[in-house]
Amino acid sequence: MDDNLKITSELIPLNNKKPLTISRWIFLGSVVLALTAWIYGYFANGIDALPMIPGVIPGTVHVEVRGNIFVGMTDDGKVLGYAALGKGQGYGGPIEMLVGVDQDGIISGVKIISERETPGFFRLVLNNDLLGKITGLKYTSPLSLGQDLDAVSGATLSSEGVAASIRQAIHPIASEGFKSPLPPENRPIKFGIPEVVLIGLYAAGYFGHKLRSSVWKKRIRWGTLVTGMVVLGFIYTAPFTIAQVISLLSGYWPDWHNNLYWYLLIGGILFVTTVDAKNPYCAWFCPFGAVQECLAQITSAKMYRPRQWSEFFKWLQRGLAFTTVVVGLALRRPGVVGYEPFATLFDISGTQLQLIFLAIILVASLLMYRPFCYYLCPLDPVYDFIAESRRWIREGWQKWQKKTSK
Amino acid sequence: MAKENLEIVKKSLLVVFLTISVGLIFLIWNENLAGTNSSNPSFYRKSAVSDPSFSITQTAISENIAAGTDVSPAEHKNQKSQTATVVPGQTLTATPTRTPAPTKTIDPTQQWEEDQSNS
Repeated sequence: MDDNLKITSELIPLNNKKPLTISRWIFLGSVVLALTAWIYGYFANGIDALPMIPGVIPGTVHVEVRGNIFVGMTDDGKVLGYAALGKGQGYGGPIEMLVGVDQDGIISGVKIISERETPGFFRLVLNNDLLGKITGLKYTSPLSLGQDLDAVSGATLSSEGVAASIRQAIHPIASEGFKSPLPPENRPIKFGIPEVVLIGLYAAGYFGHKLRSSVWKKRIRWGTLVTGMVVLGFIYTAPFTIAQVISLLSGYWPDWHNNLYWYLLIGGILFVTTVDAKNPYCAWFCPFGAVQECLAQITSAKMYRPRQWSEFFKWLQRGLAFTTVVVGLALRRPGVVGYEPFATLFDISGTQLQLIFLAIILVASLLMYRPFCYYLCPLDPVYDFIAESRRWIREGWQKWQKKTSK
Repeated sequence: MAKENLEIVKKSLLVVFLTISVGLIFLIWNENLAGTNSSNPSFYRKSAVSDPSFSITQTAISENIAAGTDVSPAEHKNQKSQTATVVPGQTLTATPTRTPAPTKTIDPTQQWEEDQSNS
């Protein structure tokens, strides 16, 4: 195994020699700050949907709240239609929508109440007129991607979130407004190629790093890296991101039937990192890491980290990661704060700034080994955090055991 | 000497790379956060009418009224009717709860006279 691999796959503890020093105070302080941001974000969110009813039921002058639905009426009390709120899981968190259906059962209007998506990608959904395509459909339509709606390329999860929130809103309208309940939504468990590949990569990474033969270790590692890059990167655009960590902390857990991959990815990383103190993802199958390594192979670029500045760079990376998590928790918008250029590369879409950022990283990858991973990636400090927590708990447990044995 | 110079170049390039990258990260954050003030994008049919007199009423018992099975809300069930003795010449100011406070002051003498003339 080469030195580079050794450094990426082993978790480096914050400070080996001084267990209760500045680094641990910073650790505690960051937990307190993150918790404060979480609480702030929890209470600082919310929006009044009532004034938006005329926007989805045209001609509404009076709105009556009836159970879970809103009834739009004219001035003389004539019912024009029904509206309800629905929630669906997007990329960065729940997408909440207001849906209006007229007396003929036609969806007369839809309105986004709140969303937590990355603006650049959510704009694709809006520019693609997905909302316009929903309007005019019967409320009894499937309202599903691949059936009567098309996913927007580059924003599949956001499109699914929009469709799911519309479907959720339609149910109370059907049962309480039209008095004809729709059958419960059939939610088959989505288990396909990405899930199978992900499980295979975990297994290969877990057993691969235990191999004694460095030749086979290297071969398997290149196999997992290329598979991760092609399947999880270019085909499915499903790498691990800081937005997923913030979603997890914010409580935005998607429906597991449709998002088993999300649980396998995050659960797998947390499980292996906690139990084994090894980070299988970064070194063995991170798609963006694989792209950087492929570029480094072209020029035989080596890792470069001046020893005298090493601490500064480490804390710079941690500072970026911490800011991302705290702002993400406070605003409850995981998709907004993530800055990784993963989707920009694998979907070849993004804003000008994101494209420039990606170009700089790719050029730097020709000069040094994995520059993004070693200096900028917000996920590396997350692993450090888990490793430090694990070490601390373990030390506490050992001390407690010693005391009780005496 | 050449090795030292190479090291200086490497370090300089690293500093430039990191400075530009961190600057871009801040700009990306700024760009994304500026886009968070969305105006709740929506789509509705062109027949939408914007009515300035739009008002909202919350009537929890309306379904019963519509169905003709109206019952008084539980909060009113145990209430007894209230009576007030009005002494001619005394001014009564009514301040009902749950409705806007009236600004009109009723003169009971005048009211009594009006009622008498109406009957």
